[in-house]
Amino acid sequence: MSAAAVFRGLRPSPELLLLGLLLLPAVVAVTRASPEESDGDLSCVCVKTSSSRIHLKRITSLEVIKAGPHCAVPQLIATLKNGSKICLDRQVPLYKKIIKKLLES
Amino acid sequence: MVSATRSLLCAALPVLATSRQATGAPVANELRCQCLQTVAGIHFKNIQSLKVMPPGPHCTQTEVIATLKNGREACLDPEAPMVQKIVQKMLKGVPK
Repeated sequence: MSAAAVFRGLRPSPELLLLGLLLLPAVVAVTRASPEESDGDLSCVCVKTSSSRIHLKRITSLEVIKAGPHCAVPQLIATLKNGSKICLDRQVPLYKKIIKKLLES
Repeated sequence: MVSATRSLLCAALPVLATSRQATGAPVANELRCQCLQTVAGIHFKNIQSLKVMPPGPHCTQTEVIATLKNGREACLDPEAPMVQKIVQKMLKGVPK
């Protein structure tokens, strides 16, 4: 199928719809695990945390935000080398080890 | 060599003096080390957040920058045992 045929008319082809549906869960997952940029100082930055495995080498910085009036729980945010930010579950022992390793490096 | 180093330091000193207080304050530049000096004696209750940066191309040493409740930033010594304790305490969600 040529590109012209794909974009002919307004009706998307079944292939494009399928592609969109496949990508949707990934987009949602990424969005939820990422800290919100706006209202960062007035409420919790992290809406949802990730427990996935992250290698130390991928981390550019690690930020710990203390619980306070703005947010009832402590927050752990990792900035990766590709520029993305991930909220980490502070209960995961792996992340505690990562912090300890960072301080010792 | 010594005199060249000295003159270089003398040239750099006014820049440091005018930019901001150098003691323990991070320099706002992501392309090099942000911590020129580290301070001690920062109390846990005054800290709002802590940022740990591992060594990289921009800086050969680990840097720990604390954001205080009054908005100021302070560089902490990553090797100080107190820093480890502060991090653990923050993660536990100990109030105040």
